Amino acid sequence: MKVSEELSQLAETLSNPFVESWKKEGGKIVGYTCTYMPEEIIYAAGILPLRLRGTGCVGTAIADAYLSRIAHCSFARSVLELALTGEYDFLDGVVFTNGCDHTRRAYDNWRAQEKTPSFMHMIPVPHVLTEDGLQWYREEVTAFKEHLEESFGVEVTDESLTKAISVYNETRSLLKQLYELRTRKSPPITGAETLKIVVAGVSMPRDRYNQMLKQLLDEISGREGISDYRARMMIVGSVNDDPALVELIEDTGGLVVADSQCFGARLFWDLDEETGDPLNNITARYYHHIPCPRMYGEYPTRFDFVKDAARKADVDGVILQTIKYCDLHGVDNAMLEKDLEEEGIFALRLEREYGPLADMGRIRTRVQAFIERLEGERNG
Amino acid sequence: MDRKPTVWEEVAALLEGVSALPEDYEALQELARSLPPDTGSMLKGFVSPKFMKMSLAGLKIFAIAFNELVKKRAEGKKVVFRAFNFPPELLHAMDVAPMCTEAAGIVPMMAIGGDRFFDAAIEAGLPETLCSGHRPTVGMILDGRELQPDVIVNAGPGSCDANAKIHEYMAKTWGIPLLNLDAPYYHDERGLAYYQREFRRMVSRLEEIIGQKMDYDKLREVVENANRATELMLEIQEMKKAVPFPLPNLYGVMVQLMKYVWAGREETVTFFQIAHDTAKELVEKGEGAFPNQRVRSLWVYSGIYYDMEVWNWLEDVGVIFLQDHFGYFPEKLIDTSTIDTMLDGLGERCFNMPMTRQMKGAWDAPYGWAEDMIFLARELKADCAIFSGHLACRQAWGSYRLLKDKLKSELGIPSFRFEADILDRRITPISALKDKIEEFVSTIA
Repeated sequence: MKVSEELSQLAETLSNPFVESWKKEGGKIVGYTCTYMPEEIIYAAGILPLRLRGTGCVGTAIADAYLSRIAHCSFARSVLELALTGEYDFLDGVVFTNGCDHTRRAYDNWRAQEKTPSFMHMIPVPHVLTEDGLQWYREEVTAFKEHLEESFGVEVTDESLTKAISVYNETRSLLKQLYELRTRKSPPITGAETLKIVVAGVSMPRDRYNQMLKQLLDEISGREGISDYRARMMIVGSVNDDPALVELIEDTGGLVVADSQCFGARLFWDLDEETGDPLNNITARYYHHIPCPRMYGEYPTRFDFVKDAARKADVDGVILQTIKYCDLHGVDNAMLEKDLEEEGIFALRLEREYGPLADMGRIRTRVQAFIERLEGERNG
Repeated sequence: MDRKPTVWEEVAALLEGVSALPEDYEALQELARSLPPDTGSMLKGFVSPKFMKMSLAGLKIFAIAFNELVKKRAEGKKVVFRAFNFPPELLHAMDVAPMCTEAAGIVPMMAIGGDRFFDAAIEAGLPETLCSGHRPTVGMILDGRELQPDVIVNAGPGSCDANAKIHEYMAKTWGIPLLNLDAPYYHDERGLAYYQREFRRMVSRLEEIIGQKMDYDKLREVVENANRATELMLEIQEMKKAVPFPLPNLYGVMVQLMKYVWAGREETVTFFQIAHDTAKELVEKGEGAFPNQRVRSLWVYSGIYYDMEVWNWLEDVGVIFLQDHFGYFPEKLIDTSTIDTMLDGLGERCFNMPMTRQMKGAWDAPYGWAEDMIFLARELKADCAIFSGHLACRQAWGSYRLLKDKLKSELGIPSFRFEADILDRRITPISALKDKIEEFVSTIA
């Protein structure tokens, strides 16, 4: 099996052979949400960090007794459903951030159950970028590290953190190389495949992932490149770990060549500083990375990132997707649509549901119409 | 004036006439009949027939607030929007026109109607699932009917994504400064200290932006007024424990108006004094504010405001509105001896405003939603809890089930939940809601 196929498979399930092997060897696994959760800490503790997803969730009947179908996003409900139905029982711990009102209430409801992972932790992240906020976050990251050490009987040293930084920076650099290839006129990889590769990275041991990522870059460098697309697309918005959405866009004639998503560029774009106090470096990197819409007053940075990425990848249009009830991306996308169009970058706002709950027929029609608009604009 | 009056000007003119009414319920009903339906309904809804003095003192606040806003705007003063959960005392001490973002939209909606303003915000690209507390304000301004603010104080971060985000949207859309006040996750000493530093930073930035230093003598005067109102309000809170209940349901609504729109002003002290004296007299006589009190209901989230007449109707069917979470202000008096004590005191008050206090952290955190609602249910001898499931509130919907179970297991009281938009009447018909409430009450009374 090619390495691209091996990695791509990992996006399809919650667990996978790497996870099973890790557990079999006595390794611990801590699940987490959000790009404001510093993975390096878990890695440095010798524990496998695994990003929580709603993959495989086909309904949210139990979660809906705690969160609400009429108020909460289907991602948060799907994750909670999988937790409450035992699908995440292989985890030894869980850590959330107060990333948004939906996910932090998912955490509350998970934590309130009788049966929970023995380690549960919340990392409160400030919603503004200030010196004071950075200090607060530093204290919270330190508290998380200490809780992890105490609960799992491990020690997270400066040396282990320094190694973690090196490993994670390598991932980020490799993924940036992958993203660079996507900006070519004939990219060697689709958007859907790229998303699967990104998801794989947060679903398996990181050292092994880096090895495979290097092999992947070698593998795809020999590909012919994709040129039979009707429009180059960028995808922006709510949490999206579901390749099906991107596949749908690409089946319709688009080729997704860039993104600004938390299972995407926003996850890995910024590097840790490698000199100086490692915990400070990690904290600073996570606090200041390409901001999620939860960071108030930081819209200009988000817009610049989207605009620059769109231009660099020479996209024809940007799809601004929002999971229903997601206030953060819903409002940001309204602003982005206006500003991108003013910059001459065409944009489509699209409301959707998460994963298998999605209304694919409607989305396909909207994407088709958008592509036709882009073709019309291109052809004058 | 050649130009079309703004919504605020229309509302200011309308309310000025209403607040000049004599304390005569018949005259008021007569007036209500002559007004457009929405206006008449709002007027009747904001008046408790047996408590005209209190009602008119409350209504007067609307008139004064909107008139002052219009007047100061005409004088070229800066208009400062701030969310309901930012205490207005600070702004009343500055030479600006402060306005509660939510009130700027909701009050005109109530007074002159206009469902289209909800929709105008959606047409501008905002999600239809966004909180209706803000959509009409945005809609009115986008619709060209309104004067936009000059600066926004955003107290939403941490307590409500939607609230925070809409203020960010407004600032960005109108190209005006946004001052964010970040509520930390924890309600403890460390959290308070962080928040007080945020508050001071905001004050400094505000002074820079409006080009005006804080007048601390004026601030002392305002805070002293606020303290007098707080003393009265806390005494009223104690009297709410009485059986029978000594306040009209409308009090629970008006207390929010006083705190969110006009805290620190003399007219608010007057309102609380009237409410206080009214309740005291009834308590001393052992009488209730209305007869046939069957059920003491604690509304654990919000009341509903798309039909203000519901409050008097609840009295008619024997349901006491003890209060809701938005009307709970467990605050301290502020030490006015120094600038520092006043600023830190206001910072702490802001930290304890509804939503910020209860929703910024875990559902079961100290001083969180569950703890406060269990406390209130116990203190006020609630027979039941009612959750007006405001569709846009991710926070409340996300912890209601846990709260409901806790109310049952710890206090043995039942809860009733309904789905609605507390401001948009197009979601749940008031007739259907009344039927449900009556059915629930009949099962427990």
